[in-house]
Formats: sequence, structure tokens, C-alpha cells
Amino acid sequence: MILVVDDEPQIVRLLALRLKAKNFDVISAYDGYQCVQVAKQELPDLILLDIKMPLGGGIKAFEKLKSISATKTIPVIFITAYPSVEVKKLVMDMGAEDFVSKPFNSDVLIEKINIILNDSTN
Amino acid sequence: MSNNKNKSSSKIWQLELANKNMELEISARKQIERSLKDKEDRFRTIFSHAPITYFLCNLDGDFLDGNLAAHQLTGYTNEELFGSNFIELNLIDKKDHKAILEIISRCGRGENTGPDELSLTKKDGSKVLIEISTSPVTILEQRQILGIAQDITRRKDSEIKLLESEERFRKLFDSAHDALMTLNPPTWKFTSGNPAILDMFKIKNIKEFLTYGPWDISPEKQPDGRLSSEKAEEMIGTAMEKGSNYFEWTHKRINGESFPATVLLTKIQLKNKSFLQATVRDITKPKRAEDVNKVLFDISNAVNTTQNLSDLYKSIHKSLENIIDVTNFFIAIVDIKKHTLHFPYHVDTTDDDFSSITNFDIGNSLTGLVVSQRKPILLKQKELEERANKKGVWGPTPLIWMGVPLIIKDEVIGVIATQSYINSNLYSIQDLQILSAVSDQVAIAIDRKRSEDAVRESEKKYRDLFEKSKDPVLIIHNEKFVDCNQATIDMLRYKNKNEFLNTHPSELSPKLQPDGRLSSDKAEEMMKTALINGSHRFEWDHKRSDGEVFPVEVLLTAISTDEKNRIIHTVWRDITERKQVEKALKENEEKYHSLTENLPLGIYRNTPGSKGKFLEVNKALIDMFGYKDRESMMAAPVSSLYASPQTRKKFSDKFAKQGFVKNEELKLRRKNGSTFIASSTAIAIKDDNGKVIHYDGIIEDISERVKLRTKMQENEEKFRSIVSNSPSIIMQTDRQGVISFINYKYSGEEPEDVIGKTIYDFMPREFHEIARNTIQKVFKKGESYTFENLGFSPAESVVWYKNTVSSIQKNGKVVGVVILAADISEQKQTDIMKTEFISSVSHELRTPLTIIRESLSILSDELFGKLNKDQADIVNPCIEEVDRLGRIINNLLDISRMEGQKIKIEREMVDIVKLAHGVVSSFGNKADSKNIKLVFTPNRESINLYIDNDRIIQVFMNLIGNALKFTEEGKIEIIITEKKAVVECYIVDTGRGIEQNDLGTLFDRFHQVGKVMRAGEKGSGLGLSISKGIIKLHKGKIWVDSEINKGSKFCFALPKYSIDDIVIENIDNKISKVADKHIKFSLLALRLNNYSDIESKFSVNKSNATMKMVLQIIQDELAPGEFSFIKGKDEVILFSDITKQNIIVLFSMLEDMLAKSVLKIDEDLTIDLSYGYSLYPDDGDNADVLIKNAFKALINTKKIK
Repeated sequence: MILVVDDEPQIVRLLALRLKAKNFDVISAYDGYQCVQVAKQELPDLILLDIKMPLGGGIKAFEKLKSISATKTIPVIFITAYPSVEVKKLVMDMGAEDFVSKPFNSDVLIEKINIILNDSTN
Repeated sequence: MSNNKNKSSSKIWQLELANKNMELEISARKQIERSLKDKEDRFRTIFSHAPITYFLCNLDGDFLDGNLAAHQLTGYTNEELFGSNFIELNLIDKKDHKAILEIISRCGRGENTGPDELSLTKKDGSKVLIEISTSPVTILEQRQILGIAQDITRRKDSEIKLLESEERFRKLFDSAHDALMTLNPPTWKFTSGNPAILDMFKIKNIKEFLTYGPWDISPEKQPDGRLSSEKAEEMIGTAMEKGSNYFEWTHKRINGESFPATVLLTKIQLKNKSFLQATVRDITKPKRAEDVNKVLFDISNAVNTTQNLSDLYKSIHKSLENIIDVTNFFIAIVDIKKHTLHFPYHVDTTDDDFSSITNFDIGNSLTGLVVSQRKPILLKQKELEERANKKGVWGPTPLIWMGVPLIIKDEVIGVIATQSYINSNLYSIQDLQILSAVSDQVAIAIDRKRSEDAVRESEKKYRDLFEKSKDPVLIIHNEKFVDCNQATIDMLRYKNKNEFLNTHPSELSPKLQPDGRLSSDKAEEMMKTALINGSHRFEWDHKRSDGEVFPVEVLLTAISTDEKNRIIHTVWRDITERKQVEKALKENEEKYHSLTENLPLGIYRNTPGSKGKFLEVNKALIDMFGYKDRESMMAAPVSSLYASPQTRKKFSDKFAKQGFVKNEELKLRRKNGSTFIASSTAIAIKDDNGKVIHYDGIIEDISERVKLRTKMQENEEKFRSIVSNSPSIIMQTDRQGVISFINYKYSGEEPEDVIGKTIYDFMPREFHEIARNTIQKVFKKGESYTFENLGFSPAESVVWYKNTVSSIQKNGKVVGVVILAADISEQKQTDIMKTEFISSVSHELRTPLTIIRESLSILSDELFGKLNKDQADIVNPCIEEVDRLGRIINNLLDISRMEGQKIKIEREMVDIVKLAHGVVSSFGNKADSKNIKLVFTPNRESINLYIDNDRIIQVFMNLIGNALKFTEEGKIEIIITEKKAVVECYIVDTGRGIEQNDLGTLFDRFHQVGKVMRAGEKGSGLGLSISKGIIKLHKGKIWVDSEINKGSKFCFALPKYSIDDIVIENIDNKISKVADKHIKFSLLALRLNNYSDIESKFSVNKSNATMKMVLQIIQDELAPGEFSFIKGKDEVILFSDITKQNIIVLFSMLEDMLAKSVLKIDEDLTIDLSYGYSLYPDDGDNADVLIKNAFKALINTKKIK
């Protein structure tokens, strides 16, 4: 199960479409707070997390997730429209699995998701 | 200006020095003249006091000069004599006029005359007899007569007296009567006699006489010792036999007195009876007269034969013995002035106390009586006794006393006296007469001897002067030195004068004189000149016995100009010192002269007044005034050089007021009439009376300077106006950034507060490096560079300055910089806004773009059903364009960040070979699909560089991507070459190439070559621009070579950083980050002390591995994320925020870990480590100092096994 978090519903919808087509279960959230709540509840296998969002951005949400033991180990791939070396370094240091800037190539993204999930299942 | 002032004042100093030297020179000359004059005076004194009369007269007999003796001889003063004639003065008796005229005319013809006796009438009318000798002389080319006259009156007197004495005795002799007698055989008794017999034999009457025979009136023996009786018989016998006999016989008076006589016996024959007549002539008197004459002659002669007066007295006494009993005899000499008598000579049997009678009243003694009565006195016993009773007599009273005055020219000069204490009848009147007769001669003899002694004394005096003169004095006779004094011997360094006397002057000289002439020739000339002119002074080089040459000043004075007797009085003066002074002076003069000639200043000397002329001008002055040569300038009146009479007046007024002028600006006129501005300095040279002799001055043409000054003033005006109206801040700083000038307030501080501070005081720390580097670069290269910085602003608003740094150069050397700080805050604001705009727009575009791409991608992936070919052909290119749009957005963001200087490269040690290889591999598929060969050729297996990994990948991606894009066939070669200071990377393609026109703008933003894009070739147009930005951030270079249709070659070079550079950069970065935040950090230094032991014991690999192990442990375990590195081979530096206490903990942890790991390298390995520590900012505020102090503090040494 993959949690897609983005304040833009179109992106959530399209990503869900794509992921479902690849046989992933998809749940969604539209802000940082929702993200943490949903993740706590559903404990997804992976989270695709936008950074710039209302009600606590992705980074805050990620911090929160890391602070909760149940969600601490959930791999997170950041997807952002504001990529920068500094932010990338920041989130990678915090323990993110990857950092993908918008617009992304969904094929590449799914490949990355597969690798991460295979690693974790192993 | 000040420089010129110095020049002028040093010039004045030179002139003063020259004047001083001149004064010295003058005083030296004066001194020499004075000493010469002294010598002349001395000579003149000797000449004028000589006891012999010298005089000079012309050929008419007019007196020209004479000495003191001439004055004494004639009674006329030199002034009275001068110009007067012999005859006019009635000096010579009329009877001798003819003789004197004859002498003058003979001498006029060049003959020497004399000695001639002439009678001379003195001024007081008294007459003296003189003897004159003359010689012709030439003085100052005029023939003159040198006369020597001698008073011979006394000599004549003595001759006359001698004649008179003879006369007198002849009379005595003549009046004597012969005694006539007859005597008969066989008894030969006297038979008759005339009255003369009575007187002769002191017999009372003839009757008594007739009782005697010849033996009765003869002594027992004759002077030859025979018995008178025998001899008388023989004489009688002879007379009888021969008829007559004439012989000398000593007779005896009845009173026993013997006397000499001549006897003539004549045989008278009467019938057969014959007898003898005898004529006896008492020859006592003739005998005495003869003796007296002999005595007179002896005395006269004694003057010449005796050495001195006392010898003469002795001689006189001895001579007198022949005629008078002078057993007791003395000579008294009168000193009229002192009214005394003294006794220079006395012999007395009784009285031996003459020495005490040196001073008594001449009237109170016998001698005094003779002096006062001026006549001979004979006192007998009776009178003497009376006198002794009445007045007393000095010493024992004699029985008879006889004294005679010695008179010269009516003056009693002394007395000769004789006396007896035993025979009261010893002297008769006749004896007195004889003594009187002799006295005249004695007087003359004594007087002559006295004057002779005086002459000798004066000669001795002269000799002393000659001998004791400190200057060498020599006598030249017949061109040879014949005498000299001790000073000469000393100067020539001989032992005695005989070693060099009788030589020609040139033999005591070097072969050549300083003027190059032969000494022998020149000496002849000098002597000749002296003889012609009377004296001659010149300088001469003489030679000492040891060969040393020394300069003397020689004064030759001709003493006699007789051709045969060239006597030249010679005085030398050692002028070695003077010569040295002269030489030094000359050198100074030459120096001074060359200085004045070569100085770029005009130097002159001119005479005062309106008609003043130049005395001296130097070359610079001649050139300055445009004269063609010195002569024409010297000919020009000084006044003509002023631009106008007013200028001259102004100048001379100022001069008159101050007594000098200094750096006075005035307008002067050249020869061609043009004028120029000059600076003049002049002083007046005055004589002892304060009268100006001439002016010395310096003129400098300052037209150019004045022009320059005017121009500079204009420039300054312009500059000042520009500066004060400039909208920018303009400041001047030195290499250290210290501000020495600023035109405005800066960061809210007034200019006066800003000056003295550094520019770094006005900007945040992060700009210090760029500011410092820029200034250094300007100092190094002299070109202008710019940098931007954030300034402090009083209102806390942001101020950005763009600084243009330009050099201030002096003589090609940068001495400072001018910083033009333009406030670009507004522009910056705009830029930031622009960047932010681009950034936000770019970001905002991403979300819709993501939606579009994902939507298209879903369609393309046919999640919602199959697309037909037409549909797919529309959807798929859309995805590509969206991707391109994404790339453009990424590049735009990069560019805007770079421009906003927001991009920071994160450098680390990266193997660029590995990096490039990865990029090349990633293009493998694409290249294969285009059938293009990718060739990768690094010249090393690995090259570590201190670079930003991702950014350099980006550069390779851009360049290789471009190459692939524009290449249709062939290959693309990627070359990496390590050079000494840089690593060069080449991407060489065989593509279409780039037009030459496009090369210049290739790296500009949004530039893409060619207007027409083909499918698959589209780029953002920002790749090269971004690559350039990245390489620049790495302080590298990027460039391109290309040939159309052949291919392009893109190159970039990255600098190789030394570990030290990196360390320092890192530490300085850290410092600038923490500087203003009161954050401390520490620097840890480690050293592997046994690095070289490990290397020699094991291998280089193992020693390096040990170091790597140490670093690894630090980086991985102890201080992850902190900066640490190996410095040199055997040192590790780590800097972090750890405290001193933690350092020790850290080090002990390191020890533990090393102990575990060391076995991995080698079982026998021992590690010897020491560590040190320094703290920022306590131990230093820059990297260099911190590192140095960390290693300085190396302490603990740990050995780990």
C-alpha cells in the first residue's frame, strides 16, 4: 500500500491511476496533517510525499512520521516542485529514500518504488 | 616643488662652499706673501744695516736708493739723497768732480771702476775721504750704477800720522851732534874732544875726558861678547893699517849707561907722526826712531793679523816693549756716555786689581786726568806723592807714571799708560813723546779693530740668521749652490752640506718639472730671470737625497749682478702642504665646475650695475637663453635677459631689500625674444668694505613646471568637481585596504571618521575575501577589477555596492587603489526580484506540467485503451516537449541561482576519471543508436580533484550531450589530461562545427547555434551558459575551438588544489561562517611520528595505509561530517566544534580503535602518534596561524601496538 500525499488533487488522482495500474493499493492525503494521520492509521508500505503543502509541509510531516515508532520505518520518497540541493541534502540526511523533482517520469518513479519495496521485503 | 627646492638649496650650498674655499685660498696666499715679505724685510734689514755703504744711481749720477750706511756717510737722509745729483749736493769736492764724472761715464759704459779715492763733504760741512767702487747693474731693464763707498779717513789719518812721526824723528836725529875726538899712540888715550863729548858721555869737562881712553867709555864687553879693550885695539889696528875703519860700537857713559854708536876712525898722518880721529855718533835715537817706526808698522799690521781686540791689545803691548819699558802697562777705554773707564788690557807687577776699576769718575784718577786734559802726562815721584796725599790714588802709588790719550777724530777713546814702582827716573819727556807718537796708531788700530769686530759681529748675526732660518737658504754662485743652511740639509735629507754643494740646481731636481720642461733648461731660465729682474719667485720641484720629489716655492734674489760673480740668494719654502691644498682645491674646483656645467640649472656670476656683464655662465644657462655659445652670452648685457625693465626693477628691489632672492619667479627673455618663466636664486658677493663685487645665482626654467602646475590645478579642479558631484563613493586605499581618502559619508560615517579605517570595517565578513582578492589582483596586474558587496547601512536597510577597483600607479608601480563604490541596491533588488520571479514562476509551472505529463503518460501507456497510430503520434511528442519544458525550467533555475550567487558548490575530493567515465557510459545507448563511437582517454588511471561532484557531472552531461546532438557520424572523444597545475578535459567531436561568428557568444544565455532546429537537437540553450558558470565557480576555464564541418573541441580546465589550499579554504570558510556569531571551533592536529620508520621497515604502501586508517577512523567513527584530511604525508588535521576536554576523550578513543585496526595492516606495526590543538579565535584568526599553533602545541606521544 502506497500513500500519495499532495495538495494538488489532480496529481494525487493521476499518481493513483498509474500506481493502481501497476497493482499497488493507493491511499491518499492532501496535506501534512492528513498525511501523518493516514500513515499512523494505515501504516502504508511507502509514502510519496510533496513538500510544499498547507497544514504543515512535507518536511514537518516527515519529521513527525520519524518521531512515531509505528511510522518511523516507512520509506518516503519526496516529490517536489521546489527542488534544491539544500533541501535534497536536508531530507536525505533526515532519512528520506529519494528526492524526485516535478515533473517526473512516472516509469522511473515506479522503478524506484519497486526497488525500495523489494529491498524492504527482503 | 620640494624636490626643486632641495636642488636649489644644495646649489647655494655649493656656491657657499666655493666661496669659502676661495677665502681659504686667499688667506693661504696672504700667509705665503707675508712670510716672503718677512724674508725680504730681513734681507733688506741686513742690507740696509750693513756697515758698508751701498747706493744706486742712474747714469746721470742721480741717487736712486741707498742704505743706512750711505745716510750716515753723507749725513743726508735717503729722501734728501733720492733724485739728487752728486754735484748738486756738493757732495764731492770740486777737485774730484772730474774724477766722479769719469767714474760714472765708465760705469755707464759697463765697466767696473775703483776703488778710487775721493773727498766727500758731509751735510754738516765736515769732510771725509772715501773710496768708491762701482758696478753696472740692470734693474727693471734700466741700466743703473751700484756703488760701494767706504770712509777711509781714518786709514788716511793713520798714514799721515805715520809720516809725521817719521818726520819728527828725522829732526831729532838731525839735531844730534857727533862727538869728535883724537887719540894718539901708543897709549891711545884721548888727546882732544869737542863739547858734544860732554853731553854724550855725561862728562863734566874736557880735562877729565882727556884722562880716559876708549875702553874707559865702553862697557866691559861688546854686544858680540868680546872684551871691549881687545876689540878696541883691533879696531884701532885696522884703522892704522887701512887708513880708516867704520863700525858700530857700544859705548858707556860715565854714569854707566850704555848706548849704541857708530864710530869712524880716520888715520891722520902728520910728518912721521900719525894718530887717529874718531867720530862717534850716538845712534840711540836713530835706533829708537827705527824701532818706533817698526812698532808703528807692527801695530798697524796687528789690526789685520790679530783675531780680536784682546789679541790686538796683547800685540800692542808686545810691540811697545821694543821702545819703552812697559813692565807695568794698561790700556783704558772710555765710555763717554756712561762717563766710565774700563781696562780691557793690563799687566802690572804690583797691582793685580784692575778688574775692579771698571767704573770711576774720569776726573778723579790719573787716567781720568789724561782723558779730561786730552794730552800726555808724565808724573814724577814728587808729584805722584803729593797727589796721593791730596786726592788718593787707586791702587799702589808708583814712583813714576806716564799716560797718553788715544784720540780719534778729536775724541778720546782711551788711554795707554805705563808706570814703575822701582825706578823713579825710568821715563823721560822723550819717552812720553815716543808714547804719544805711537798712541795715534794705537788709537787707530783699536778703533779699526773695534769696527772690524762690529762688522764681524754683524756678519755673525747674519750668519746666524742664515743658519737658523727655518726656511732653507742657499747661495748660488756661478750657477752652483755654494752654501746653504741647516734647514736646507734637513729638507734635502742629507747628512751634511758637502754632499750636495757645488751642484747645479737641476741636479737636486727631478729630470722634468711639472710643466714637462727639463729642469736643467728651466733652472737656467729662472736664474737668468732673477739676475735680470733682481729677484724672481716661482714654484719648483726639488728632489731629496732619497729620491723623493717635493714642491717648493723658490725666491731668488740677485746679490751681485757681475757677470763673473753671479751670487744669488735663494730661499726655498716647502709648499707640499700648500700643493696638497691646491690640489684639493683644484679637484674641488673641477668637481664644482663639472657640477655647474652638468647641472640642469643655469648658473652664473655677473657684475653689478645697469651695465652688468656675465663673468661666468654654465652650459645649461647658455642653452636656456638660446645663445649659440659662451662668448655670445658673456657679451650680452645682463639687463637684456629680463622680459621687461619692470621685471628687472622688481627683482633688484627685492634683492636690495633682502640682500638675496630665493626661488623668485620671474619672466626672462631668450635671445630670440621669446620669454619664459624662471625661478631665480641669487646672492651678492661683497668685498671687505661691503661693496658688491658680483652676484652669484641660479636660474631654473620652470615654464614647463608652471604649465604643468596650471594643468594640474585644472585637472585637480576637474577631478574635485567630478568627485564631489559623483553619485558614487570614491575612496583611495592602500594594499591593506586602509582608506586615505573618501568623498562622501560611508555607511553613515563622516569622511573624517572613515579615513584611517579599512574597507573591511564596512562590509560583512563573507565579502572580505573577494574584496581582498580583488585589491591584490589590482596591485598585481595594475588593471581594473570589480566586486560587489553588501554594505552596512545605518537604517538597517540593505545596501549593495558595486566596487570598481583601479590602480594608482607611480613610475609603473601600483601604489594604491581607487575604489569607486556605486550603490546598486536598487539594481540588486530588481535582480533579486527577477531571480525570485523566475524561481517562483518556474516552480509554479512544475505542478501543471506534472499533471500534463502524467496525463499524457497515462494516455501513452494506454491505461485507458489502445491509441491508434495517429493518436500516439500526437501524444508521444507532447511528452517529449513537456520533458524539454522541464529541463528548461531546471536550467532557468540554475542560471538564476548562479546570477543571484545563490549557487554554492559543495566540493570534495573526487576522482574525475571515474566521474567522467560514468557520464560517458550513460551516453552509451544514445551513441550506439546514432552509430557514433565514444572514446574515453584519460592520461591517468585516477585523478583526484577538489570539485563539486554533481556540478561537474552536469558539465560533462552538457558537453557530451551537445556533442552527440550536433554530430551525425564519426566519433566523440573525451580526453582527460593531468597537467602541472590544472586538469584539462576535452570533448572533441566530428560534428558540423560552429561558425566563427558564433564562437564569441557561444556561452551566453539562451544562445543556440543556428536558427533552424532539427528534431532531437533541441536544447534549452542554457547548457553552455550553466557549464561556464559551474567551471567559473571552480575557478577554472572553459573554451572552445571549432572548424565548420570538421568538428568542435570543447575544453575546460580545473585547477588542482593542494591539500593545504583546500585546508586553508575550508578553515577560512568556516571562519567567515562563524566569525560574527561568537562561535568557537577547534583544530586538531595529529602527527604520525614514525611514518618514515614504517616506510623503511615495511613499505610506502603500509605507511600511507596507516595514515588512511587513522583518517578513516576519524571520519567514520569519531567525527563524521567534520572536515578532516591528511596534510603532507604524516599529518592529519581535523576541525570541529569539539572542546579541549573532548579532544582528549576523542584521542583516547582513537587509540583504542587504532589498537584494534593496526593488526589489519601488519602484525608488527607500531604507531607513534602525537596530537596538538588550537582554538579559534583564541589561538589565531586565520587558517595559517591556527594550523601553525596546533602543530606547535603537539604534545602527547602515544605508542600503539
